[in-house]
Amino acid sequence: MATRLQDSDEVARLEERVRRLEKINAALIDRVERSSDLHGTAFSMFETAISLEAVVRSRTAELEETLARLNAANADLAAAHRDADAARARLRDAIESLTDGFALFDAEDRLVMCNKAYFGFWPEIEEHDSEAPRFSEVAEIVARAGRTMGSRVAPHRWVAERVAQHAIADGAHVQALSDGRWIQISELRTSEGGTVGIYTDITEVKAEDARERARELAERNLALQATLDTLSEGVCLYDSQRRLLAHNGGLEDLLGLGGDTGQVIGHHDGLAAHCRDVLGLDDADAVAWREDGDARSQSECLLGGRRFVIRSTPIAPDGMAFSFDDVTDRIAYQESLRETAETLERRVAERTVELEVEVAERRAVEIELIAAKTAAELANRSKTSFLAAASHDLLQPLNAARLFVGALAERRLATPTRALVDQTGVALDSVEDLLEALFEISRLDAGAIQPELAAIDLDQVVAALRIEFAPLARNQGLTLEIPETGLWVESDVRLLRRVLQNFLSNAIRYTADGSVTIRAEPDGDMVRLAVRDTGPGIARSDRELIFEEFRRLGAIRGIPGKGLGLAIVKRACAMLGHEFGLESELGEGSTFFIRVPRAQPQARSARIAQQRTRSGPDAAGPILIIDNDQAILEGMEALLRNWGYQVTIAAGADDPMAQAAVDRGVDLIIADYHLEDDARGDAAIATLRRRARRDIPAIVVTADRSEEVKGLIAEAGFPLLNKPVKPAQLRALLRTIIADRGA
Amino acid sequence: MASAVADRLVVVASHRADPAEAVAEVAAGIAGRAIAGGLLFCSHRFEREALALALREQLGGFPLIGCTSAGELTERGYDEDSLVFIGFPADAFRMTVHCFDELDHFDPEEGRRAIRQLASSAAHSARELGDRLSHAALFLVDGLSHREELLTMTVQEALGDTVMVGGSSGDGMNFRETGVLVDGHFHRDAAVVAILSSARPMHVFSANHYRAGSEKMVVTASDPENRVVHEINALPAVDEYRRIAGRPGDALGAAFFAAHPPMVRAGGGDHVRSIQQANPDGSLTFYCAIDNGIVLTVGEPVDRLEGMRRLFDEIDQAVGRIDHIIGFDCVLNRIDAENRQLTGEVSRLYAARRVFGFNTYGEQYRAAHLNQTLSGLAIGR
Repeated sequence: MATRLQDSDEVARLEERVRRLEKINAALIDRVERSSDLHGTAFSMFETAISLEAVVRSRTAELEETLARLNAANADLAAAHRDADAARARLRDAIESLTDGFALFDAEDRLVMCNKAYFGFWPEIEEHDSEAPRFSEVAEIVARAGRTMGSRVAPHRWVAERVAQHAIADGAHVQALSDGRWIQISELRTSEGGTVGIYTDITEVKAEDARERARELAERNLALQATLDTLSEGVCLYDSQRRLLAHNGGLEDLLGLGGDTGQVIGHHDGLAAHCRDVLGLDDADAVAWREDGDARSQSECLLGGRRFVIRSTPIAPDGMAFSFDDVTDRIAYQESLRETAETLERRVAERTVELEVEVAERRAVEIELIAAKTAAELANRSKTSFLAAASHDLLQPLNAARLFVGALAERRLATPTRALVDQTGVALDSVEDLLEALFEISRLDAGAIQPELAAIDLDQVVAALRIEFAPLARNQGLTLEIPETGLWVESDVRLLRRVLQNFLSNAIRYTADGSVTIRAEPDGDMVRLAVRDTGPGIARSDRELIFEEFRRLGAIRGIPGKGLGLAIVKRACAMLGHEFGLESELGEGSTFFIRVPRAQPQARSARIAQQRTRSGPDAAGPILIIDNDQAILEGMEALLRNWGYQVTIAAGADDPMAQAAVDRGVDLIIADYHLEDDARGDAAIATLRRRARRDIPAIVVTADRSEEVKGLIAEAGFPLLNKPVKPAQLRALLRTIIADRGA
Repeated sequence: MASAVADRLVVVASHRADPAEAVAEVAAGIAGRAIAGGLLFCSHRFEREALALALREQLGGFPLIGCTSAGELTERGYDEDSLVFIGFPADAFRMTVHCFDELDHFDPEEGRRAIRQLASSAAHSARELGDRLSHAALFLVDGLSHREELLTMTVQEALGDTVMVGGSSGDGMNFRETGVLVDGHFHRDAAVVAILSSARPMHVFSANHYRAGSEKMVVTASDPENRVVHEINALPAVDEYRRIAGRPGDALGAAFFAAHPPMVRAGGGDHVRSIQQANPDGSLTFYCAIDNGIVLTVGEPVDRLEGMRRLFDEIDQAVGRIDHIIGFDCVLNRIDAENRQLTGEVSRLYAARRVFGFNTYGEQYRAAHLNQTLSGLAIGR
């Protein structure tokens, strides 16, 4: 039972399964059959799309591409058509917008395009029913309607001419229309063999032309009459009927016509009668009517008691012009001019003689003056060169004397002797100062000093002066006031300092008690630098004198001084172009001042670190001294030995003594610049350095203070000492050089 | 949210609920740049008349096409209740548009002629961009029209070498009414084709992430016209499908359909035939054409993220530097990602690869109407 039941269940399950399989089978068969149907379902489409896409695409690609190209071409064509239509429409609009008539005939000479304005000239053509009339037809229609003047007169000829003109089509011509208008027709060939014509209404232009010409004529007449009226001459013009055409105001005045010009001279006969009968013309031919002559004629004559020039000129056609020129005053004026000219000529001749005499006298004076000047210059030059030579020759022995005194002062001496030696030193200082001053004056006079103008910090200058003069003032119990100025000036620093030094040393020297002050005050573009003292003052009468050489005033004879300081100031200021002067009150004091151009402050140059002077014992290195002056050699030797140096002296580089010393080894060479036989100190040093094969330190000494020599020595790189050599200066330099070498 | 680098695509996503404000954000993103054409995908929640009005009022001067969606792809990845605009700058692109309406009366011959016309005018207008141009066709169709297969095939056939890609418009998960946007109006029962031309590289792609299962099933009773399957293997379709999917007791719904997509073998490949809904009478309604006698399997998911990374790398190789990818992503992919908690990762991947677009009711790739793929157009710089 159970089995049967089981079996029946099993049968039912299997039957169900069979049912389903059959249905699945049917669905699949149906699907397979329908899959080849031409019009598939949506799903077939999907299947096709997926599985056959590649096949379909390759098959249709070519077709599609062709179709795409065709469509592209169509799109282009459509675009081209659009463009062409647009262009044509634009052209039509443009032509229609013309105010001129426009007509285009094609190569067949048919009217293919024209505008409203064209029809405005030829209305019959618009009404004409032919689609594209030929030009000859157009011309005939126009002629038939009688639109132009020409066609009214001779229609056939006009048509023939117009057609011929049109055939040539090479420019513009004008047509008069029968309604009174004028048109200008411009015709040109087109590139395709047709003709294009522009029809312009020029009626207005024509009318305007006529009006313009009339106005111009009227204006010209006015101008002509105005021109005539400005003439001082009398002018009148007659026509061929001898009637008066034109005249001017001058004529009425000259001929005394009063108000009735027309009555009196309205006809030429009247003019002739008036001149002859009323004014008493002495030459009747002057106003005669000349039928034959064509040239202008001129005659001088008397008219109304005055002199006239009357000109008559025939004027085409058959007219005459007369001019009346009153020359009475002119002739009188010419006479008076001639007299004046003669007077002037005479006076010029007289004056010329006087001047020649004067010139000769002046020339003689000038020659004398030149000779005097030459003599003066010569004298000055010889004085200058004398001073220069004297200074130089004096400095040499003075140098020697100084050196000896220096050496002597170094020795142990008895007190009286020491006093004598000291006084000798002071005396030598004084002589040296004097020579220095003379030397400076001579150089200033000889033009050997050239000022170098630059912006100068005044504070640096006065600071140096303060240091220099403070001890001196203190010694004399004077107050020295040199305040900071904060000013800059334009000057030569050496010359300016020299001027101020002289002012200061004078002030200190001649002031017994009180104070000496430097004051700098800006004064516009200038700075006034003044040195004021509380000394005795200078009388008015002496104020010019003190600036002369060796001029010292009586009141101060007891005080040492050379009387050269202010002479140097005068020269230096002259050279710099600075104004200087003196203000003084007797018993109160004096103020010497100088006015210097003010300058803009400059960046302060970095202060050069001052070289410290070394103290302590001198190194006893061997020193070679070269000089051609035996006295100097001995002086130097004595001085240097005193200081503890080993010294060798020689006359030149080729001196065996010098060579031996160099071979032994020297620490320093001191050479005079000018040696025997034009040999020079720097050359001697060079020779000895070559012999030693090293750069032995060297100093050059010279009495020659020229810029040239200074430059040459600086160029060679040697320290320079001027003669007479000051022992302290020399010693400081020696210490520096030898210590540098030792360091 | 606009990317406004010179000569790049103008891409704007707005989350404003008010249509006028959302469109104002789009207009601000365009910032006056010349646009050759634009795409707009919007949530089904927007009031369509108001949105269309705002578009007409605020955007103009270029052809604009678009549709309603079942979700949007924005810079957030999967997004919703939003509006995405993609604008093609006029200095690098030309876009020409043709619209089909009354799809029930679609005449393929007429359609082919229209598309050929469109292709030639596209070629003509793009000529000024240069000689070496790429062309691609974008296709949007009413996702409830049931005419996708015929349209897709007809249009692709007429386009020839120009490859087409697109999506079916969506209505969230409501399946009531979708809209295709053309000429500033939303249309029912309509489709639109746009040919995009540029000298820049453009690349069309499509991929799914399922493999066919082993057990076959045969459709034994169906209504192809309405895409309804009544019976599978001569049994009620719902039950048999659920049995073969291996989940006899589970409730059917979008999530289930997404996880167990029926697949069909064609042309040497397996293609998803997605189920739209299960009906009370035990039948299944599909997103695409079905027929009696077709053989289905139930697909199984493969590693989707890995697969997509590989896909994007291939696209990078084909195109070079990517400007943006216009993505047509099946709504079931989105549901599947939610099911499997991949939404965050997928979103990040889409954002990183600059994928903008919408969730579809189906994708069109070349001549085929597909389901549950990510299809799209990658545009290079």
